[in-house]
Amino acid sequence: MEILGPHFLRIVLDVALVLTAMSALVLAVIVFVRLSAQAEVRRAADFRRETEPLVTAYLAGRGEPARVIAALQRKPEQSLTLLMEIADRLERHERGPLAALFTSLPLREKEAAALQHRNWHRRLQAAERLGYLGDGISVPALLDALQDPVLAVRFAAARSLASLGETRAIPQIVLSFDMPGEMNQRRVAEMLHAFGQPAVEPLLQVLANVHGTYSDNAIDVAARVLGMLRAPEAVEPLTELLGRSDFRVRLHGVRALGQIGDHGTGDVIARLAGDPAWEVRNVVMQALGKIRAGQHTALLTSGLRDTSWWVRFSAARALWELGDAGRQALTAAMTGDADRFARDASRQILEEHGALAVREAKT
Amino acid sequence: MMTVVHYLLWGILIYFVALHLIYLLLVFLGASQIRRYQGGITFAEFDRIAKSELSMPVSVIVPAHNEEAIIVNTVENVLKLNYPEHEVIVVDDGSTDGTLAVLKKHFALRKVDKHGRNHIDTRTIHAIYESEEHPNLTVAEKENGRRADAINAGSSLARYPLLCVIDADCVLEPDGLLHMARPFLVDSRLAASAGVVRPSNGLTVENGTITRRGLPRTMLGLNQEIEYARSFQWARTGLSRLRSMLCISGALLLVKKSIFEAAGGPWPQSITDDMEFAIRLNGHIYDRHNGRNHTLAFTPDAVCYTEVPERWGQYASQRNRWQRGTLQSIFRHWRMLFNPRYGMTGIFGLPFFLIFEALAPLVELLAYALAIILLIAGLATVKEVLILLFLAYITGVFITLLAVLINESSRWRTASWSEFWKMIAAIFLDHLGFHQYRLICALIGTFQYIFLRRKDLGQKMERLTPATAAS
Repeated sequence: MEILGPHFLRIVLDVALVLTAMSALVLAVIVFVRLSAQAEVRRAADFRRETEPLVTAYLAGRGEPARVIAALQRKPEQSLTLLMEIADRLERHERGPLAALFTSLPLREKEAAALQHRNWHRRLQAAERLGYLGDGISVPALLDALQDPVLAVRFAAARSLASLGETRAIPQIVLSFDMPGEMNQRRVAEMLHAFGQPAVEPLLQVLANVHGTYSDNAIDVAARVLGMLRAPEAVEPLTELLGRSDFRVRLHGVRALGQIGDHGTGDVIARLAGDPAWEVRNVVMQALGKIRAGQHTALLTSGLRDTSWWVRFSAARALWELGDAGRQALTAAMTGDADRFARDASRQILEEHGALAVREAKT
Repeated sequence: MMTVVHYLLWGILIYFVALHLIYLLLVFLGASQIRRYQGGITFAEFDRIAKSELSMPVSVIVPAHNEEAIIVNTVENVLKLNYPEHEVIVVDDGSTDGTLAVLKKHFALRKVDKHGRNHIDTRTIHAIYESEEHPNLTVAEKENGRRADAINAGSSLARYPLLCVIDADCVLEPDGLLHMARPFLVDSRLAASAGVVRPSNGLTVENGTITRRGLPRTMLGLNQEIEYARSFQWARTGLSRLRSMLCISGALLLVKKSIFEAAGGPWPQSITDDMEFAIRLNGHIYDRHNGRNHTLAFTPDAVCYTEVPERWGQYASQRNRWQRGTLQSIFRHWRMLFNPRYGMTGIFGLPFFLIFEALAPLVELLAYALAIILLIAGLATVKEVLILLFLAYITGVFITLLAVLINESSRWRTASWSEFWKMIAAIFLDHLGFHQYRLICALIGTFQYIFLRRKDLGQKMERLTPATAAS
């Protein structure tokens, strides 16, 4: 092997021996990690076995609060995890008695301070923990966390504010999540939806946008949530959105009106059936179906001939929703419409609902 | 002559060092990526996704060709997945066994008159069936056209914006789809997410539900357990960080339907359609001309179990096919090689794949040949060659142990101590025959692809019947 230099083999051997020693070391570390992980799991299981029945008894009104609190305070971190799990298993209205246990844990100040930690994982953990631990004292810290540079931390803070029922935070939350993109908006909408009916009033203010503070993204989110909450008081401001130039705003306005299901909005919605954006036409068809706008059967039938597959499909579905009149329109379109696409869409929906005899598929 | 040997030896040495340095880099990147991933998961997040009415619905496509023995279990497993809304589309790709018959019988299928949207041309779909018991199950019967064609046909019937493609022999963890879908909620630019694949041999499945996670019983199966852990747990995690995840297993992929259609779906003529599609998907997403508005994610805790061959002949056939498929996929996209238009994928990912994956068997063969020449020419002693071989052996062991360390430091550790020590033993045995066998299979594959233009799919793996294996 001198072809590769006089010391080559010596170096190779040294490297191989170093790697052998390092492999042995890594193996030892693996065994150590495994052993410590097992010990930790065992300790956690023991603690849980002792403490969980006490908490369960307390929730059933049988346990002595002082005894439960004393048990929890022995290991606050593990107690917090346990209480969070128990809280998640309960319905929201059943969680009341847990508040005393959460506040007994000496962790609130620590977690509020952790919202400034340089590691975002820790900030994230703190933001979500404060949703369980927190009370009015934690709110300012959580509001500050809505400005966190990491989106996940902002989301966790907003969720915590929602679980604390802090509706005053809604305008700030809407501003903090002023982002484009369907998925982002869906996440924000779901989080705001967790506030429940108390969110309606602040969201109506966002829609009103008196000072022009909110962008179209924020308006979209507000409209979406008002639709999810089925807030009848939102019908008027939502109707005003239908004349906006941004097609997304029109789309969310129509969708929300459809979800609210006010029969009186059928004519207003139907005006957008010729919208240049197929997405808007699509939600128009869906909304007309949802509000059972029987007076617009002809319009829905013409939707079966739309250039967009989704609009045709939604029109067919909406017709089915209308009941007998719509189903007759579908059958007529399937057998007699000059447009092949209209026939296909009608057949598909009728078949989906088992209203057709089973036939051999063509392709 | 001596000069040539001298340069060849140095070339191989540099190759060896570069390869292992990259592996080491991937280990560290993978470890940090996993840490980052786990740190970003909030409390009860998956419960929240499971309950969320805003989660994106998923169409799960299961291409099946002659899978009579396992298809019912697979479909049951997918139907039982914990996810807010998903449909299952099984595409029977011209099976000649009783695949369709068992599906019809077990799920009470009835023929319906339904049409898909043909964004991608496929072979003819003869019939479409829906289940009376499971409204979210659709079965398509089509002319045989390979797995890729079946996936494309399935996508034309899909109603939802996310497509999940899984193999017919796969078993998913109950929360697998939730884990796969989570990155789509976190990052709206995400185009696709890929999951971890592990051998299902040793798994116990009852009525589509995993009841025990064991290890394969044979040494060959155990060896593949190690190989999959190494490949998925850190290599792909690290490569995804470098925007170079070019090998996405077809066994588990979740992709936006719009991106799937824009990329043209898998290529039916490919030998390994998943690899070819992964390269094309990367090319599409990271192409400067397409704006690079999307990303790919690797989800290290979304686990799918697939059956691995435990017979040497089937194993050889599979590795031969993989090697031919790798070469075909790279050659088909050679324009991406070293091309900055495709960002890191073009500059690092594809060249890495070519040099350190596709050509590795040839370099290793050259190394063995040189060792023999040196021995015959008296330029090296047996002891010296053995020292070099030991270096190669211990380097492989060291890197794999690091992968196990990552596993054990995370939540995905093996269940029992006996299984753990079996895994460790398999690591030490990998380079004592198994690796060389893989090398021979890959070399034969290379020869057959380059000189014989072999492009068939090779011998189909004989499935273990549900009574003896997966269930």
